[in-house]
Amino acid sequence: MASSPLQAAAHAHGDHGHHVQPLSFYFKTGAVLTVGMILTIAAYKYNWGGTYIIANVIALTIAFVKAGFVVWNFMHVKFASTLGKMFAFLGFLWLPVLMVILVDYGFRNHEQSPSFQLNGEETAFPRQLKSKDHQPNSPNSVNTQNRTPYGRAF
Amino acid sequence: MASITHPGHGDGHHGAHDEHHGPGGVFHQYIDLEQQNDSYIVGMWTFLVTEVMFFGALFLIYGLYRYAYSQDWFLAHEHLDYVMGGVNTFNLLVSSLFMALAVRAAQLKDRKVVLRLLGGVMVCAAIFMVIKYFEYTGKFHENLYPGPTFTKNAEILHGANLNKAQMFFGLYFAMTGLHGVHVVVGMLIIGKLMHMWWKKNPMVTEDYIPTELVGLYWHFVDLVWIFLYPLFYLMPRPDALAAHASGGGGH
Repeated sequence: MASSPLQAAAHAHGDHGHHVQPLSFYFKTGAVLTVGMILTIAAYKYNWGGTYIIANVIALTIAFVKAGFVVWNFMHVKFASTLGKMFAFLGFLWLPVLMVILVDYGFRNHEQSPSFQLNGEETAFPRQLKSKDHQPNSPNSVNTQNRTPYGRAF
Repeated sequence: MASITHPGHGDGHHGAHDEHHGPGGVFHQYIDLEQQNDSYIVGMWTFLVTEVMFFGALFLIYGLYRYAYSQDWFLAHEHLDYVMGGVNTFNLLVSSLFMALAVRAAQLKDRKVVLRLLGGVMVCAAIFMVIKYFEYTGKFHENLYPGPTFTKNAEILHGANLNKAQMFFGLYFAMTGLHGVHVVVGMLIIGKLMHMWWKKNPMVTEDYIPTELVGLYWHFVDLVWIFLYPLFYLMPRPDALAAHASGGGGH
């Protein structure tokens, strides 16, 4: 793995331990980012008509591609050592892992313990009490109509 | 491994501890320049990972409430000016390009070009903050900042539920505000870097790494905005509201 002293010396004296990229490398990256920005706005102005999920996926996909270009080319991860690449990758890998926490909100309905506000209209993710002593007309009763799999319809 | 010579020192490691290798050279604890640069870069990325965690938690909250209140948030988001946000997006993009070119010029030790490009980054950052100022004051005048004085006028929010809209503006100010703080901090750091280049401080003129590290920070600021812009300014119309879309432009 380690380069020979001769190679390393050539490296250190030759190009000072880094590789200078041609100007076009940066301008091309900038152009890609500009096109990405224009596409995002164009997708926003386009009336997708009842395809909310597709519109969201498109917007976020463009954002992730743009982010990839910034990290890979502008932030020089492309030219980083394996260790450098690993740090950058793991830093962002942590984000989707964090987002998995959101799964928890899909199961709030089935939680047995009462929450501080069971059926408040202003509760984002109301919980549904499923215990045997559930009183249909008690203040804690939950309207099971208009419910989505993730809680009450908003 | 101990027998490895220190190629960065040229004549091996004789007297390596007596010689002071200043900026641009290899400090005695490193095998070579590559390893030295690598540890700087990894150190900076370690900091950036904490920044990803910092913003990541806010994006998590955003995702949760955007899912829960998609309709009201869509109506509230129409109050934001996507043109102003778009100008700022392009503005940050150009500043990011300037910064990448400044790092390249630092690698070539071209002091004049570095100073000009960093100056360009500063101008872009200043324009960004000025546009943000106009956006924020517009919201303040309409009492759209969260708190007990939040507007009771549902009409200016296109009929959105006021509590849910308040949630939207709370996160809008928290996330773009935190990003704005990063822009200001970036301006201070770039200002210091420019000062060092101006004074021909060998720490920056002989070694491109300090410029590269400031560049990494600045690109990260751009990176956060790449996500903030579509998430806050460019929300797609939820299906339930699609019926109102006919006629164009909505309200």
